[in-house]
Amino acid sequence: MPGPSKKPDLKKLLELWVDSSLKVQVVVFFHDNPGIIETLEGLAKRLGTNVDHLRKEIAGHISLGILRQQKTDGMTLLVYDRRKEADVQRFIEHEMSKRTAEASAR
Amino acid sequence: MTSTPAGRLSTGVPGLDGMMGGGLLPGDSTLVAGSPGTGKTTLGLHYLAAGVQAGQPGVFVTFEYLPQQIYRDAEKKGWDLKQWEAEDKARLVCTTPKILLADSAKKGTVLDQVVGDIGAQRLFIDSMSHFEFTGMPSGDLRERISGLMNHLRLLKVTTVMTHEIAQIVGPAVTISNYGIEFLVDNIVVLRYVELEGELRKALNVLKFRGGGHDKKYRVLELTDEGMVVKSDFAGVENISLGSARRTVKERAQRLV
Repeated sequence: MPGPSKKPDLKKLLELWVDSSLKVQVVVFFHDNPGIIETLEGLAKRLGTNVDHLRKEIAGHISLGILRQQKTDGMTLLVYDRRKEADVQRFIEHEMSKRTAEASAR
Repeated sequence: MTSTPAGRLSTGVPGLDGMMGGGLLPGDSTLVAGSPGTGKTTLGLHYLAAGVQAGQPGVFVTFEYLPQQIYRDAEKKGWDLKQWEAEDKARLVCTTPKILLADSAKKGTVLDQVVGDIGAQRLFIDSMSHFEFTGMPSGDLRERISGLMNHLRLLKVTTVMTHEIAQIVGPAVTISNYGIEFLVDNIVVLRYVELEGELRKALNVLKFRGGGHDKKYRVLELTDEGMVVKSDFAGVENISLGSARRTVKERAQRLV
């Protein structure tokens, strides 16, 4: 008999779904520290990686809207969008329960 | 629990409010200068918690710690900062001094957005010492900080900011090398005092523009629940020198 349904955890799901460890690291870092406002260079330092690699890896986060880019005083800042994360989490939860229902119907 | 007089904002530490005539004046800026480990960041959490309780949302800016460390420290004292954020009662921002100063002469800064997002009335910045690491000459830095202070006044937030005092004990206390002490309305000093071979913490309101204030050094304690300001150092002198001693009268009385 299946146990009680458990709320899917975005962090855990992303760890399974994304294709690079740095992408996961970025999401987990902002999930744990949502108030971080940093430049790309500053974020690369905090994560111990190089700027070019990070720029490539966060393109998906930006297009998904989890990370926003904001220009100020000649700097490009990265800001985490908490509301967008909540949207993504709701979407994943919805998709997961849909797939679980489909699997048990089979 | 004590109530805060009308027109004042509680710091969240009743003993400190009492020293300042009931609390801070809205829109004022207060510098909390202290040696390492004297409770500057804890005071910031008290200030935020008091705002949540009074229906005054607050923003906590840190240059020093990652938000996850602040969440953990707040939780240990019984404050659920994450829940406050979820309810738009607070925001925790971790950034750099350069980003905070960016475009501060204009509207639409990073701080404007965060403050506007939750209608913040309180702001805590931890710590202003980090501005000294930007490499700016002290004159330029003073000008930029002065601009930031003006910007905060326009934002109508009541600001509490910290500054590190490098000296642990001793007669000389230097707060900053760019004169921030002249740009703020109020100054609270937290320092160590050596008394009979023991390091104790002391708190003093050095400057307060909001009228009369308690000028005594008071005993400061950090407990599991946070900061507690206690009685004055009765019968003790030379506290501001860092090496306090019992007064002659006190010593004589102890001999009898």
